[in-house]
Amino acid sequence: MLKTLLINTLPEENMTDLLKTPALLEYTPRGLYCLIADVYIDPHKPVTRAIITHGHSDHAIVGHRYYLCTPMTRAIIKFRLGSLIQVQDVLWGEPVYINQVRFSFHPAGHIPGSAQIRVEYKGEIWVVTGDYKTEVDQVSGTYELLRCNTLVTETTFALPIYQWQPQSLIVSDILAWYQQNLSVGRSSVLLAYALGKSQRLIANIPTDIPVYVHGSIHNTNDVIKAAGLKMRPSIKVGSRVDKKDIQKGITIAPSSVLNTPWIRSLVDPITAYISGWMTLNNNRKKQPADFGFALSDHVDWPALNEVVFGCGADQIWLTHGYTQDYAQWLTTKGLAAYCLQEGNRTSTIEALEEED
Amino acid sequence: MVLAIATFLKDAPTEDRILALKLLCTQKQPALLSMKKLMQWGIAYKDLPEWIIKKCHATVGDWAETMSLVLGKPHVRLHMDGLAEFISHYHSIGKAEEPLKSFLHHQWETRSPNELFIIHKLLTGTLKPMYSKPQLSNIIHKIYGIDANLINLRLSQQTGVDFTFDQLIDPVWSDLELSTKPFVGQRPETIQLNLFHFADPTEWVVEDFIHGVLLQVHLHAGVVTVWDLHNDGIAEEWFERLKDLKLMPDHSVVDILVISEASSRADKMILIDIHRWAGTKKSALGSLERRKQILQDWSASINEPSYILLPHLPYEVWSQDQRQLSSGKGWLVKHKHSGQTRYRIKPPNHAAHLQLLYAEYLNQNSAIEYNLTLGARSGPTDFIPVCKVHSDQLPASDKMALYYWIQNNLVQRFGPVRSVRGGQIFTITYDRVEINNRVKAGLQLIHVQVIQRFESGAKSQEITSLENIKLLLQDQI
Repeated sequence: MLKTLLINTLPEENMTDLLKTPALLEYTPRGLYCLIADVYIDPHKPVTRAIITHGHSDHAIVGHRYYLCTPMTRAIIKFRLGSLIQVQDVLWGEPVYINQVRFSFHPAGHIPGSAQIRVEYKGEIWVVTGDYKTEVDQVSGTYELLRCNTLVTETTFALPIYQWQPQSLIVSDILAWYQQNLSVGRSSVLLAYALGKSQRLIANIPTDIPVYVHGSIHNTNDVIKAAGLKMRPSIKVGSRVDKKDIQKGITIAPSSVLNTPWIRSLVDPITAYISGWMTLNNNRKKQPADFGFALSDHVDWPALNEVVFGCGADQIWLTHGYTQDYAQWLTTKGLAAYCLQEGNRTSTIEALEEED
Repeated sequence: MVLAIATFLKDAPTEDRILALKLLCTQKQPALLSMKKLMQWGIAYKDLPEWIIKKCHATVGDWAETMSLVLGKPHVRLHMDGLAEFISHYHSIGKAEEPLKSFLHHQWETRSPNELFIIHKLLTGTLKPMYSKPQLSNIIHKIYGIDANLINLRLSQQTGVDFTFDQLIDPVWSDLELSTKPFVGQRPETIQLNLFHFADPTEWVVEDFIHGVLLQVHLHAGVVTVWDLHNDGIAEEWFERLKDLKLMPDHSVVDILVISEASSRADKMILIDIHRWAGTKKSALGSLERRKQILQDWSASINEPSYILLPHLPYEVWSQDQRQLSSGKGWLVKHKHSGQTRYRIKPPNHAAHLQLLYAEYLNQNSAIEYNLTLGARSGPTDFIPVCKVHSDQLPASDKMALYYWIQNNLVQRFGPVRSVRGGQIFTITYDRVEINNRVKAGLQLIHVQVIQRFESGAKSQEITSLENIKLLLQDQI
């Protein structure tokens, strides 16, 4: 069935090769699938065995029978999906053999515990990056470039307009913004995703500035700290905390608090949204917060190209974001690139025509 | 945005401040380069296919921003070095392609995307002004307290004179600026007599809000210039008295309110506030009390008793402010809702207890807004309407309580009007009584303000009688 799907959708010149040797990983309606090991990577529908790259909800869903991931991700998904799920954890680089297929986890630098999955079978190596970034922050580990035959990479920000400023510059901008708010007596609130971005921000705020966090972030921090990551202290915003003290520090909260009593209870709050999408003026204007800072946990255009051309892969599979545009770009550079079409889960792999 | 502009003006180099202000309002820079050429050069420089740049543009929506994001160096910090220097430099290059191209290449190698965005906008002449001149003038007025009209005039460059930033925020009108037409106010020489009539103090109560004339006096290079800010009119006789103002330190700007009593013709110049004193800005002079002290010291030094010194009275609710003028004949008030700055001498209030007779819904969507018809006692049990007030003058808790009271004491409905039982008493104040034969009471109360609502316990004997009000009317006549 899988082979039939592939034959129908891949370009003609690739058909013969695929008929001879079935691909180590396939894209199925449930997600990336290794037929030989009978295991899925980040499946988006319930399966028997799932390898999870990281704990974000679009990668780790509830309903699988067995989960395999890193110890940090294990703690996170047990917290988010419920303690009853059956999870096995694997250390960095430690091989796991399933029906002679060798799986290993390597740091992806996206959020705490995020991993790339290296899959090896009879000398053929595939790497599934999951979400990743190459810039080093204090909490997410250091991305490791893996050589492979086929790379499955994300392309969330795969356009030349997305080139991140160094983290240090953005943090200094945030601190300058905070100082300005402090001088006029306003409470600075950073709106960031509760898992990953929040911890990254907390780690980068100087220790002499008190950090206050929303309950959801506080709970996530507790889980991450219990799993072994050292973090600077932060204070949960609650009824016992004086709102005038909050005014003197930086508050971090998920964006869902906007226009809620929670944020209205703060003293004259001013908000800033923290996301890679804030690179564009249009996005900064459209989003409901007062300001925007472009800090992303995903790989940008230069780093993506470094990874793709540095890993030695001759075939690139693309997922998330600007897949078609990046596939077209890679094709002009002489690489075979395919997009995993996620918009409609019925077709599997869409081949791209070369540029005219 | 006011804060951002204020911060920029505080930190930026002197020559950049005025240039940035001009760019913010209307001064468009001439284009040296078409956007198409900028794109072609950028593509060649970055070695990217055209289709991907077009795809980027489709995402971003602006060519200058697209090219700045693609070509900029994100790790570079903002230089914050001379906008004025940069503009003069690129103007010196002209439209010749090669020098312009090498100039651009240098910018692309050294600038951050944010800086390149502005540079691309400037070069291609697509930098849109964010503000109109009046808007920007108002912002500068908020920051520096300078007359917005003066700033607007200077930004418009109607005098044809180029100016520095310090000259822009100088509150003193130069002779050239004074000679330009479009200001509010007139030159003192052209003002005719009799534009303003000072009536007897007892007549003050029959006119609305015109019993003071606000003037702004500038002393610049020994010349006193008086501005009648709201065209209320300046009497010829005042000029003699205004000459004393020459004794002020040079480069001073003060606000003066002139009031007069026709019976004695004793005009009073009330120095209200200082905008600039001996070249020192208002912000550097300190609080209102401090500025008042400066005026008092100066007044004492010239030994001029007719200058009465008063602080500027920022009345929020004029009827309830009990500060009284030294004359004892009324209060100096600034009308809260007037578009212009209007002053008047307000007589002391009269108070009355009146009973609610009718309540009329004003808005079907908001049941707690009423026009309340209040009545005075005309017999043991009879009441006659004498005024109408808006329930908006009551605090929110009273409005809600009144709503429930009306629901529970309803007698009859006439469309939106509710006739209610007696017992709801209000204390009101009013300025004066006027004859009005079209109403049953034959009089009406003027400038009625609700002071309080009696929760309970008010007796009908306590309600002011119509006879008492008529007595007041007779006194007035």
